[in-house]
Amino acid sequence: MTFRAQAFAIAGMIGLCIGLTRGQTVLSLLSLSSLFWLFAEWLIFYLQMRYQIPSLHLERLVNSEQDSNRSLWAERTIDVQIRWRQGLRLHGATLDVLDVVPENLEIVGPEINAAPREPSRSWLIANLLQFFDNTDNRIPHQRKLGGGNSPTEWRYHARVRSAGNVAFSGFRLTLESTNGLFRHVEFVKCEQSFRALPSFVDAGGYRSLIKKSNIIPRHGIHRLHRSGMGSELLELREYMPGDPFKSIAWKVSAKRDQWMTRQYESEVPARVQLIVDGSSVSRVGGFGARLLDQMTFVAASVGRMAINAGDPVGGMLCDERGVRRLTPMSGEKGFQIFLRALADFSVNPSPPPCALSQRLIDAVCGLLSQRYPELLDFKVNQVPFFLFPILPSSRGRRRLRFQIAGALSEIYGLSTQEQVALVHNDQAIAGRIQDLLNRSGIPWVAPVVASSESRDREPIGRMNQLAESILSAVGHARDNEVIVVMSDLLNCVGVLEFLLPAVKIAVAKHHRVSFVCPTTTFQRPSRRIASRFSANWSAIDLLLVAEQSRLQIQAEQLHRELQRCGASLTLSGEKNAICMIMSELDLVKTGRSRSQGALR
Amino acid sequence: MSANDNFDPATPTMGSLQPTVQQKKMFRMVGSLLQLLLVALCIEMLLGISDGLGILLRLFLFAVVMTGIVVRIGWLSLIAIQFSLFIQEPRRGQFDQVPSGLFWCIVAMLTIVAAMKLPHVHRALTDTFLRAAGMGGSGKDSQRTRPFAILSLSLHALQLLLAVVLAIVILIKIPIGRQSGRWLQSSIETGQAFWPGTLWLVTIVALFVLARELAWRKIEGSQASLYLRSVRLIANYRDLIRFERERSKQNRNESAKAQIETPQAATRLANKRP
Repeated sequence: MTFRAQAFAIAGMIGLCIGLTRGQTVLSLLSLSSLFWLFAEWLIFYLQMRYQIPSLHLERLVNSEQDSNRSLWAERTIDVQIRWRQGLRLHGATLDVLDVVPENLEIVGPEINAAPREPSRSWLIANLLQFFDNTDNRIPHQRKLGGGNSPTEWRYHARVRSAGNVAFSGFRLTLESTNGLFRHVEFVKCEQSFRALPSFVDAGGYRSLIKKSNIIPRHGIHRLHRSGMGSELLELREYMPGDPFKSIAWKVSAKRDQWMTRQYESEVPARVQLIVDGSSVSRVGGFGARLLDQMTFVAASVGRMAINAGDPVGGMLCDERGVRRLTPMSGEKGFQIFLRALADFSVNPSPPPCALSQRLIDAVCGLLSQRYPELLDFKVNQVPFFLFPILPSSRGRRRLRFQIAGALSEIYGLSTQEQVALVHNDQAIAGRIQDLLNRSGIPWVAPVVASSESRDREPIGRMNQLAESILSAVGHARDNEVIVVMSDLLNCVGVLEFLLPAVKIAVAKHHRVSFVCPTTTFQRPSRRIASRFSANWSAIDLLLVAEQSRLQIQAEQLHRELQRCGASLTLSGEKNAICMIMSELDLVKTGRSRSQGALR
Repeated sequence: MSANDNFDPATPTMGSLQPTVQQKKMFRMVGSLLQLLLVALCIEMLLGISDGLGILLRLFLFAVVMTGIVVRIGWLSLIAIQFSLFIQEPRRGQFDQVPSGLFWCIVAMLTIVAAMKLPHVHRALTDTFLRAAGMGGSGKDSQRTRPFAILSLSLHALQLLLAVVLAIVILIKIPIGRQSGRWLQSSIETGQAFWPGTLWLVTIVALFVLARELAWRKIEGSQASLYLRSVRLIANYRDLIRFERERSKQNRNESAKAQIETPQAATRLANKRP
């Protein structure tokens, strides 16, 4: 029963009482008729609710498949098709079906016609305009299921924001009488979970150092196992600084009057070890805007290019839960396993605990009213009587707390004692709310995690874990491997001494160590932006420039420290980072000592 | 330059008699205005029962009812019409003459219900108007939805009529106002002093109980479980809250003790080192 129906009933009853008391026939008749009419409307609505909703059958096809074992790709558009079938159709009420889209999806497409409400337009004028223009402005994942001629399916398109998991939970059904007097909300579960593999890009400029076909048959079965200096000539090219002298083709150089170098086939594959740091700092933010998303993008791209060139790719995935080692793998199957491991790693674990706040309560209320509306019903989720607090607002908050505790207890199957603990212990209820929000696919943004989580709480522990991972990678490595560490180091310049010894050991073992440091702005820090200052800049622009300047200073310090140890560094998870790693791989394979000027 | 160069798709040509989008939009707007006019006439009729209302009050009530219709707030229109009746209707107290107000009541209820079901009624009437003007329906499938719309409107009208008739029957049957004196006299004569309103009251209470029972039987398993949980919580709340307070107190004491002990242990360890 909505407010309209309540107001209508109250008006009818008051009118009836006054009419009977004063002996006004028509007033009494009108009031009593309105009450009977309201009762008849309720009866019809109840019948619809009782028989129409259970007879509704909904199914969802993602990319024309219902199978949840299929994988989706980050940053690609998916096609979602909703089919519905209704056994019983009663007229007189509208049934709105809303597909609850996970946070990891972004609705795209030209069919988004939900016009934003203009703030300057008053409520009355908006209603008047709506009277003359009855266009149905709905979001693409919502449909009104109408009469017998309405289509039995609809579709919308969505873009996967980031790697990880795309979990559809179900449909939110809203049955509303045409006059808006009665409304019933129900959530129908239709769970489908898809693994979203990270996106990757072919940065180009990297090629295999093995001939695709060789007309000269090879002698014997044994090959010279020497990195980048195989016995088979690949090509002759111009000499570049850093090329070994012994590979100079003297005769050809003399003929052409230009230094030429012999490029040999690489017979020993250069392995890449990708160390991805997925600590809580890198997981804070909306899907697609996390530091971890930049890292998985770089890792997947590097993996693709390296595997294309025949080089095995391994890795270490480390976070607060521990370190998971991926053995080096090659081939298409190996690449798929690697991507799947990255996707699983991208799924957020339990968030770090935070204090209970009003925003956290609001967030869980929104979630519960969307996915568990039946558990917030006052008829079933009853609240014990309490005298204090007396103020109505405080009493309302307390009642809400009781209701949330009841709903959480039902969802998690807690005992009554634990339910009472949820009511009286802020820490306990905050933990449960966080867990529920996280399980429901809400990203790590405030209030799921405290805003202070974006700052590193334990940088030393993180550096130690990275150092251990590097040492473990060195322990498992052969000669001349490329170790790529992807981590947010910009805020850890002060505690780099815990990491640098491991880097030095790796370099001493003839490995090449590269660091990819993603930035929160998704841009390489540059001072050029600040030099183009204009008076028209907004506060956000100024904040961005200030952040860039801060990052620039930290990046310079970091670069200096790592260069001293013989490691290279690139900032932000973009194409340049991939190029840098591939140039390092190139160096390992060719035996050269300097890169060809890859942008770092 | 050929004739096709000046072709404007928005302008109807002699060859095609299909109405353009602009024409349809214009006709739709005219239809909406006509509907508003009709509603305004109805309201004027409802408010003008007698000359009891002053012009300013009448205008105000008219504005309120119109606002209620446009913004789909039926109760606002109901209150305005009730207020108009409260002022204008004479206090006769003769409920046996109720059928005389039948037509008026139906018009009033129709206006209120039309206000509450505005989009549907509006769409149906606009479609009818467009069709009458030879413009076709508003949608491609208007021909197919027409029977459903007619059926729906007929059911609504029947429901409304039934509500009004039932109200009339009840008002006639229950001895209230001046009828109560007559009823008392006749009941004394016949020796039956049972007030018939009780029967109606019992019926209403029975209907209410039935409605609650129906609503209760609809709950799901999780709701039933939650209900049992909340009932158990309410029954044992005082004991449970005492346990919880004790436990939290104990936890606090333990954590405080641990905090005190930890520095001591650290100091002991430090002292042991050479």
